[in-house]
Amino acid sequence: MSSSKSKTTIGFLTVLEFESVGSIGGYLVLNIGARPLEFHCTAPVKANRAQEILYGNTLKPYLHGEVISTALVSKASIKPDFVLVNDDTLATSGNLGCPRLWLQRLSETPPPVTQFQFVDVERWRCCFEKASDLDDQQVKETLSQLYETVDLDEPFQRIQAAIEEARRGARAA
Amino acid sequence: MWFGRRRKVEPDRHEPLVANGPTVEVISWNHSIGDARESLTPPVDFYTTGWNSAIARTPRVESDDVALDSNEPQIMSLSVRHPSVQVRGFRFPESAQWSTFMPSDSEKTIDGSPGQRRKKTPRRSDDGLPQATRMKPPKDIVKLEDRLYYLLQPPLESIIASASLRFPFEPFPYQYEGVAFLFPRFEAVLADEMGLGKTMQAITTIRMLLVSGQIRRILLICPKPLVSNWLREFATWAPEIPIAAIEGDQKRREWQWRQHEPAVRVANYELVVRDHLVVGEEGNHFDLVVLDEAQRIKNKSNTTSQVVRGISRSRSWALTGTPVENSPDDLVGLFEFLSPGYLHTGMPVPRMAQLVGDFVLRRTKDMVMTELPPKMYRDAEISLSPEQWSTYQGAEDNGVIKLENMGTELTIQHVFELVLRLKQICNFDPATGASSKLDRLEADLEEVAASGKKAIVFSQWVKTLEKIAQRLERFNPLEYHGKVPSKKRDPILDRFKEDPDCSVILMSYGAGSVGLNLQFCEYVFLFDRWWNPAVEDQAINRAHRIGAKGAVTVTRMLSVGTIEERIHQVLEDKRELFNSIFSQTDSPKKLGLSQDEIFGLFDLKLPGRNAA
Repeated sequence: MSSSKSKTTIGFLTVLEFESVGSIGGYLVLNIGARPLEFHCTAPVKANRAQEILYGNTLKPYLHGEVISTALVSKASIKPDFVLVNDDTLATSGNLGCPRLWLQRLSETPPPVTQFQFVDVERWRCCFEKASDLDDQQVKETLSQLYETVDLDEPFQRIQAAIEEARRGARAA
Repeated sequence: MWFGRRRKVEPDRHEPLVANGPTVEVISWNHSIGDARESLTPPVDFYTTGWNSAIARTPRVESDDVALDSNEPQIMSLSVRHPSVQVRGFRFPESAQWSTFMPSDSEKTIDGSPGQRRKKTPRRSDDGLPQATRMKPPKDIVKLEDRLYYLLQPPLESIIASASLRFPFEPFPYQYEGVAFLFPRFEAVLADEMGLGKTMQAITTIRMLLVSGQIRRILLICPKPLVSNWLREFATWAPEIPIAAIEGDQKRREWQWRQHEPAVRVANYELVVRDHLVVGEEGNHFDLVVLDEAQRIKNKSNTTSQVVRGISRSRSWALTGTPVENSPDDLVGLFEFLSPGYLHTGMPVPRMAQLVGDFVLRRTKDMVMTELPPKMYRDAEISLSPEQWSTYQGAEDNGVIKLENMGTELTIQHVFELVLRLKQICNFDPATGASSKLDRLEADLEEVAASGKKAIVFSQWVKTLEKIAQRLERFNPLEYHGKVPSKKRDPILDRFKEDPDCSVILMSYGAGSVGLNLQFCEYVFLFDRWWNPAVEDQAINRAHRIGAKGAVTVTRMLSVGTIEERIHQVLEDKRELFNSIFSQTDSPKKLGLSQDEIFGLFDLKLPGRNAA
């Protein structure tokens, strides 16, 4: 974790599924003031029939985690202090090369305590694997500071808007 | 079953049948009854089957040889290649410039004293969630990277909070939306109804653009009476931003025009026209030019409009509560400043509405009604006094006869003169000074003063206001019109606000209907109606502004059975003009007061037209 709070950067990673074209990933890196520093998005990724059969139930973790997420985070020039994800698939799949936090609402079922640690920030639960080297106090402090500016899931809405804008542009072209 | 008598029977023993196998002793029984009955023993015959010998033999196995195929089995392989993922990325280096704007002097708080800047948290709803007003890129931004820049910004409330921009009062949600509208736009018209805070929205957006480093040099152009108003508003809403009015003698002004400091300059329209050579000098470029009361340039061929269009600038904003006063072509004049050639004269109204949609933001009080106190209209239909009626009838009859006799020499100016004369008689009888309107006004003002409230009285004539002032002396009326020197105007407004004994201020439409804040008044009287509903609305909105303590009562005085009543009907029709452009309804049936309608006030025909 960065020692200087003003230089703290946080990544937000999500993958959206579109029935017609497949999955599109979006990755947004913010500073602690929630301002955008970098944004990356993928072209649509769709498994072929063979992959659907052979991967079976492991297809989604494979595509979202190992393929899309890894490609996005590796392309970014800024390495954030940690990356927030908003679903269980992204929470456990793929190697991002930096610590990962899974953002849940407090009303959702928490993941197993044997594997994860939790930090609560307002109405959010932030889960991270015990094996990661995150300091829970520092995580709470950083996310609380971010919460003063935006709700913790608000950047995911920006990613969604940006992906839809990119799709509109691609369709127009 | 047995039949007959029983007797012991000895078995017959035979020679055993011996084959190549086990010995089988055969015992047969021959039962006979011994008398005449036949033997019942069925005959038993024995045959050799050869089973015993067969069983003893070693089985013989016969087999056939089948040759197996010697080819390799077919193998189907599926390659599971790691899919390649195309990634597109953008960096936003400008975000690093989002720093708190630091003027060369110390930070100032609202009252001008030095102070510490404290981080502000964004506004939250009742359930504790941060309010989120998003910026959207305007349609004329086509590059994806630029569009994403706006989409990926945090909510406006967060930006403002993190930049530590403080406000004396929390902006309303629609004002945040107004700022979000202005911020990304290089050409924009903020056309909110009077009193909704266009000034505050423009100032806040200017602050944000300064903080983000997108602009450095701003010019505000406004009517002369509003220069001091802008300075006051900046001191209230953006005390940290240095601002100066262009004023003084020519040498001083030339020097001011050529300076790069302060960031914000304010000048009136007339001064800009006078100094157009200096303003238009090469190298004198402004990042943003804002026109207040921009309807001033609706006539694109007048000097003011030409000079303003000639100012070198990157961004052009127009602030006006009345973007269309008489005709949709007013908007054409406005857009010649924003984006020359974008609109043209005579364009169909629906097409114009479609084109301007992304550039113009207009909210009315009804749209933000929940945040404002109500506005109540009370039309006072007043009968003329006998003296007035006598004078009026004579003037109208004689005037119409005179107009009819003019034939082809008749012009609209002649009709206007008659209209104005008749309206003046509706106010005061020229011979006796009798005025039923003033009687009514006096009575109403007694109630206003008695309740400790304050009122504004508008008239289009200064002489009318002077007569009213004489009659209403006991209410300590203040006058604010063209005859009042500029230097005395601000003190008059201050006194009206602060002095509890001053219950009424008398204003002309020209001086008092533009850009003033009198939101502490709860009563507005329109002693005589203006020719244009837009200007009337401005007058009413002087009082019905955000911050008004209670309901604003608007009394429109109307002399029954006179030209005023006929004009009233035409004014009501003109209100539809606004709605046709700035709403989804159909285009209006009438586009304002045409020449035919003006002549029609006296049942006259436009010269040259055949009679119906």
